[in-house]
Amino acid sequence: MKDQSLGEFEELVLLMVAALHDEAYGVAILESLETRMERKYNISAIHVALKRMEDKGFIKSHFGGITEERGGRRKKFYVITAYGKKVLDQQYELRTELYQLIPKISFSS
Amino acid sequence: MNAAPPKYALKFLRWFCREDCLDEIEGDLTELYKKHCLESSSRARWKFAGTVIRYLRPEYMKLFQRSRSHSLINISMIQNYFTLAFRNLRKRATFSFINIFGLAMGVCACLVILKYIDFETSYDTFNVNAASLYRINRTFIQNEERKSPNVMTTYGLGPALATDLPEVKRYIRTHTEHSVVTYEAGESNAKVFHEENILAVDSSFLRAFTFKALAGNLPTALDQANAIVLTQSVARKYFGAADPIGKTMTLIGGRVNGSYTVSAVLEDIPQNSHFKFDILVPLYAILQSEQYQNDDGWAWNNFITYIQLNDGASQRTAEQKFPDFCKRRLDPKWKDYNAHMELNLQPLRDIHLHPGLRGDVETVSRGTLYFFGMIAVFIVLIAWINYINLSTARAMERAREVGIKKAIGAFRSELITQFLFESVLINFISTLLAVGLAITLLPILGDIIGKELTFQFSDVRLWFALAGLSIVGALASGIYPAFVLSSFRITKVLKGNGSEGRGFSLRKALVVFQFAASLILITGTFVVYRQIHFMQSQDKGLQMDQMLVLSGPGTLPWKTAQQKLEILKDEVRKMPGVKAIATSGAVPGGGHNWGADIRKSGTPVTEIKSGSVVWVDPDFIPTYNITFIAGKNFDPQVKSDMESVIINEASLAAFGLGTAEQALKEQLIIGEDTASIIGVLKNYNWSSLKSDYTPFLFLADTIATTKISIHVAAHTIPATIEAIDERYKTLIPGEPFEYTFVDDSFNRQYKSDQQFGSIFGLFATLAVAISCLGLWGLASFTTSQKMKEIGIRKVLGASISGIVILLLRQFLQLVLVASFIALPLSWYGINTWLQGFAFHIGLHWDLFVLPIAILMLIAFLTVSMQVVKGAITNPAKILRSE
Repeated sequence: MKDQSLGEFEELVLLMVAALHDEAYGVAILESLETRMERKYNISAIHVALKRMEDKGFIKSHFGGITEERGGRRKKFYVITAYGKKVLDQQYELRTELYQLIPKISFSS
Repeated sequence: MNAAPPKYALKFLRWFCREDCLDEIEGDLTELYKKHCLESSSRARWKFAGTVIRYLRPEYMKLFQRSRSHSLINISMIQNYFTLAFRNLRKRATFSFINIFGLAMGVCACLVILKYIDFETSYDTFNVNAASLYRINRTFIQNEERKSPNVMTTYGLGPALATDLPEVKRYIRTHTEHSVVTYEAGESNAKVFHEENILAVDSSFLRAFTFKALAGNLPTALDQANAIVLTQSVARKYFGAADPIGKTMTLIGGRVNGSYTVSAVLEDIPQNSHFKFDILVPLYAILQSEQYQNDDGWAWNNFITYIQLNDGASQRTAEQKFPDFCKRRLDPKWKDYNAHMELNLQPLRDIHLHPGLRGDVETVSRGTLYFFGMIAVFIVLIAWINYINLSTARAMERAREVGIKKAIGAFRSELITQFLFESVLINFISTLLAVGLAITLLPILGDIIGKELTFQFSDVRLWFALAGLSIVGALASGIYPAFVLSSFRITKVLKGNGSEGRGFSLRKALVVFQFAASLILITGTFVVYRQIHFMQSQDKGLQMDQMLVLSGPGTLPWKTAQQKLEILKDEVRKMPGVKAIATSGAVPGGGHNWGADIRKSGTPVTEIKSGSVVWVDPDFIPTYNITFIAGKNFDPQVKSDMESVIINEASLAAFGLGTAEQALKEQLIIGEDTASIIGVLKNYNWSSLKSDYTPFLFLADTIATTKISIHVAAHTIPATIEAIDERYKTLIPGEPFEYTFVDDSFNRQYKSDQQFGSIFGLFATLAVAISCLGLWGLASFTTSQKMKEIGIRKVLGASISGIVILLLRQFLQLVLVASFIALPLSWYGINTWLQGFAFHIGLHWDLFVLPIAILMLIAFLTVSMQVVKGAITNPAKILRSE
């Protein structure tokens, strides 16, 4: 059976795909991630993550129109699937649950 | 602003990347590139290229496209390939058998030859210091003429090299000896044997050469002058299960007389060692002998010198110092002779692979090994060709399968994969079979070369060879059929248009190649056997048949030995089965006593030529029945006769003696002594017919104590030997009685040629067998293809013989063409090989025609079995179902 786990970086990319909604394609995801996370990523890492998640069925893709700045290549847009959203929700819930287990005391810094 | 991304990086990306991912990747990369260009164009270019490299992952590569994107389907595809392959194997069991068995034989031959080559090249590599050990070879140059290089050197050479050259770490001298060895195990329980393989060595021997010890401390084992080191089997012979260390053995005879204490026991010498010794003793006793005490260290060339170089020193730097060394140390002696000496180093590991040096027995040339390697390649090619031929010949049969698959939607690449898969499977099965065959074949080869060869399955190289052979085999034999089979056009195939197609001419060419290769091998084998037979049966000018040779008594002092032999001679001569008896210092095929410097009396020393000298008693020449062309034999009654020399025809020209009659008036200076010539003998072959007649001299002795030759009557040999044995033992008690026949030992000189011939024959047989397997398959297939044609012809009135001839013709034509190709090649090869023999067979027509006839016959038999079967089938059976 296929691996249905969601890696840390994959989760980030998946969140970004969901957030960007209709505008999620390689460069857009990269740039939003870089601004949000304040660090550099390599586009290939994004592509690999996207491909894996597509294989797992978390996201689906469609091609956009040809634009000039892309050397005549189409954009590949990604949209999160219902299943992907469910996985994301589960992940979120799990995190929240775990977060709530933290005792309410102040931590020394 | 630079708008276009780097051209080459982009090209590369487009080349390896899957089409369906390219839009996204190239698009995104280009977009990013343009943005990065706004900052720095050069950095953007680097970044682009660097990122492209990152996409070299299986999931993006065209190469892995199928297996990745349809991984589930692929497994069932492979299962399907398996099923199909096995079905095909079963359906055509005969073909599968020919394919697999043929390939297996080819691979087996290849494995065996590889093992053989590996063995021959592994000589002396077990020595830890092999890389720094060398043997000294010397070449004597007189009047600008180079004599053949020699390994025998004087005892002064080693120490002199060690003092003069800083590169030399240590020197090791060896001297062969033989002796009678006694071990007194107790009262009247002595063990006595003739030991022929004693090596007297410097104590450094066991420090330089690494042998495995069973007992004792090897590096110091030979430090004591009376130490003796045995090999395991010798130790067992004398001591049985008892511990030999510290026991005392007595050596009598030769220069190593005395008692020795066993200091170490070695494992038996590895098969791949150029040293052949059973016993080691220190060189001390040899050097103390009278002969070498009177020698300044530069006279007697009886030692083999090895040196070990220091770690940093190279052969080149050491050899560069040799000319100067020779000038100082060696050449002054040769100045008057207009001669000088040249030394060079021979790496230890090269010794076995360097034939032709005087003093080396067991060698094999690199050329021979390359030659066998070539045969291996040929045999494997022949086997692969079989596969190609049979697979493409069956193409028509499988064309329908291909057509339907294509019609359903199979890609060509899938079909190619399928056919390659079949070939991988067949090659794999046949490699397994080949290992089995090779294990049975290897002892046969081992018998031929007299060594024990076994596959070491722990050896990684064997696995590499197996993997390599099966992978290369699968590709080499599978690619062409795969492409041919998958190339059929659907419409043409399904219409049932079974034309022969373009594959056939190539198939013919391949068959021609197979048969040409087989023919060359057959002819080669044939010639080798003929030449060996010729050398054995050729009249050598010597009586060789029924000539018994005994070793003289080695234990007795020379004078006593002479007296005893005198008596023995008289008594044996009177025995009824004995025709003649003589004593000599050496016998034919057993070398000479002295390689002497000889010149005609009255000529300057620069005229010195070397010649072989053997001491014989006056009965020797009549016993061996050598013909005089002038002069007479030694007469024991005439004192001057016994101080004379009898020469052979070859000496006449060599020493400038004129005709045989003129020579009788001349004198020769042999070494230091002068002797008049009293007889000239017709040329005879004292040693192998490989070498030409050389100057050969007999000097007289009343009794020469080394060898006793007895010409016995053929019908009473066993009884005569028994009688001689009895006399010998009563006369010389304690001396082992050992005999050989001179023709046997003479023919042993051809051992390496016989080995060559046998190995050659073995693989020629394999090659022919594989070729015929292929031909058989091809013939049966063509016949089955032509059944309809045959049926129609028969219905129309063709005779069976007519049809057989029709079908046979094309195959015999192929053999004929092969013959024309093979003829000049084998002529050239044979001619070159025969040049190595001074006496050789002529290149008669039958040498070439007979192999062709044999091959024709074999091919004819192979093919006709199939063809006749086809021709006698009832046409009604074939034509019924149209």
